[in-house]
Amino acid sequence: MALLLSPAGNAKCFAAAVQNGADEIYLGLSSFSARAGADNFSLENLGEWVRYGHVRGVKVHVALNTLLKDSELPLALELAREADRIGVDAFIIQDVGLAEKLAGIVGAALHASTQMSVMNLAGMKLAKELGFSRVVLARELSLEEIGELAGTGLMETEVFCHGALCMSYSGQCLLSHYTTGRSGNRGTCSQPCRLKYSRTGERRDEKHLLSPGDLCTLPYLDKLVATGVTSLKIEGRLKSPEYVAAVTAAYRRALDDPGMDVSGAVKDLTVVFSRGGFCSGHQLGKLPLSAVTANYPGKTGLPCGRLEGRLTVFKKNGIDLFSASVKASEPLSTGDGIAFDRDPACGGVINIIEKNGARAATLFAGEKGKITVSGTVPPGLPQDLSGKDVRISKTSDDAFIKELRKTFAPGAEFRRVPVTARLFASSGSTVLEFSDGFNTAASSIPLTAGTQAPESTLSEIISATGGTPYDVTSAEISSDCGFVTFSTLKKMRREALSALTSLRERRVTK
Amino acid sequence: MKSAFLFSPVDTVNKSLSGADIIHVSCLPYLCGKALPAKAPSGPKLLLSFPFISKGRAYSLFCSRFAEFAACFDGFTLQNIGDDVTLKELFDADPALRREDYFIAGDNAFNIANKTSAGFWRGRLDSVVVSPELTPEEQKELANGFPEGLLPEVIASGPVIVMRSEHCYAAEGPSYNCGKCGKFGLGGGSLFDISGGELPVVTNPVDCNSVLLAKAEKFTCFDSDSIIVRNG
Repeated sequence: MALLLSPAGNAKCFAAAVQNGADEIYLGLSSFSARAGADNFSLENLGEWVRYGHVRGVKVHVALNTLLKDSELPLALELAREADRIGVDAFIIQDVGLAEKLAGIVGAALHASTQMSVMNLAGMKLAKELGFSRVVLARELSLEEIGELAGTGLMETEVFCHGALCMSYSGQCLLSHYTTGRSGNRGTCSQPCRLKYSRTGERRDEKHLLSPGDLCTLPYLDKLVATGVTSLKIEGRLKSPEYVAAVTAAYRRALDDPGMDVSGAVKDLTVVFSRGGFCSGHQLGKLPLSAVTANYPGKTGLPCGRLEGRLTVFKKNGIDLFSASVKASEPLSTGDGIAFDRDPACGGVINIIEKNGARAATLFAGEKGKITVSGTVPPGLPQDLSGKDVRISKTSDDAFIKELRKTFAPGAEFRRVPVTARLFASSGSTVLEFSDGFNTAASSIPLTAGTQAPESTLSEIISATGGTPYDVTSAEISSDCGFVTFSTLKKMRREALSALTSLRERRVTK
Repeated sequence: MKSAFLFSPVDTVNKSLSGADIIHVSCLPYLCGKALPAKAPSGPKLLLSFPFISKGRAYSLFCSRFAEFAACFDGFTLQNIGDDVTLKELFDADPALRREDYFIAGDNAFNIANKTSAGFWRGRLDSVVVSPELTPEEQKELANGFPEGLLPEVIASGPVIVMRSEHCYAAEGPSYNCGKCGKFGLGGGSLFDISGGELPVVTNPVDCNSVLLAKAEKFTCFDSDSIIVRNG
């Protein structure tokens, strides 16, 4: 089974990734991260989140994946040493110099960033020589090529399974530097690939010729997993916690249930964020030319219907509004976002839905109704829409977003660690012990004779782990465990679980 | 020393390149059937560049014709860190090909931004390009601090590869031409940004991929006595 690696641009994204099923998380610190524009983490709060991840069985990778100047190398080394002391599990590195300096002096593993442009076995051998134990393969490899490299067993392999693609091999793009002075290799890519270009002989300012659509591997995830790759990486350290939650949850479900129908999940993710629908990148053959989002390089959403009849554009309390009849091809609810296909920068949020002359919360697929939207329409759109084929797409799903937010609300514990419990007597003590299969922690009191409460009652108290990340899957009560008051047993439960947490917080090395 | 990078076949060496000590030559024309250059007894060192992308048919073809190339060129220009291992394996497979005087260069794909990175390549390469993303002053400072035995090369002017893509920028219509275009080198036309800046496309019809070039600003602060200065 491949591991699932999710991005965390900030603390909320971290919680969203953990609670929705990530096995590993990658994040950047305040410096030397290829996503300098993300909130990122500080050394002050890194420990808290590393412990949060470890307790829930999630490893934490720190991206130090920029090129470094001589003056920066000592700072990067110190940052890495501090993060290593905190207990992070891996560093993602691009700079050969940093890798050479870190190899052998940190306890964390070294992962070769995709910025190192490793695309063949020779590249993997060099990465191994540099001390890397995992390589993030170039995004441009086919499933066959990924399988060949993963199959060598030379080192762990990681590939992107979802998210934005670059037009250039990562680490080999200097276009941002040359056009704006902001280097992608130093974490400040200005995304020139999303701008307009023209070809020789074409009109200027023509199309977004260098803008690829976003990758989604859900429809063929079984084939990607079958390559033997170690870890599947979700792109998106600049994305929202809702995005991280939705994508992580969708891939978690698909990995855990390989036969599942993913069409609903693909639709959900198309709404959450996609550029011109999704594509397979180069994994199923060359990036199809149709996957270049030449007309619009931003979020486009899921096609959800077309506007018909008379378009009314008006203002109320200074807010731009418009209303029109709509024939829905996907469910639309109040609070959902829509955009115009002809100009996805225009659109807005549905305020009112009317169906058969009455207010309604939802317009289902195939139904007709009228929507009033707070937002704007594309310039030049006529009032009479009949015969105009005005297509719209859904760009946010209010109900879905609310459900996603519950998963990373403060104190939310959807990610439960299975533990077994045992209450027994040993060497004159009553002992309550919890085990996660690797770690065992206990709390004990002097053994006292007395009539014990029913086993079911004791089991209920021991299993009452609400507010913790633990789920007691079985509780074994020995008949000779002695007498324990309910309040003492609760205290023992808290102490033992706290001790277990302390054990789980540490970095586990192979 | 002075150098240049040639994206067209070497028989088109023109006067502007004649003063160069080292000429990096793209392998693509030769992979597409162009005749190999006759080896001159004197003149600039001709270094054959590995394919710009280290996989696909071009890469396999390059490796399969390595003996021919080794006989015609004075060394090789590596385009990916893994090429170092590939080159060693090619020489190990046929030790008779190995020559002490071969010159092995690393191109800007090596992303050398500090002395420690440069130090890793000492003993593996004869020269390596200093990251053109550093300021000219930073490049100069880094070049001056290079370890002994490894020559720094700086791109002072002329074309720089700013994108290496599995995609073909020259492809049009609903699909790729899949090699049928027969173009190589600068036959792929150019892209123009919204301000009219030209980005020439170098196509690889063997794999339908391409690289995008930009012109480096003309930097005159480099002293070619101690470093390799690439102009053109």
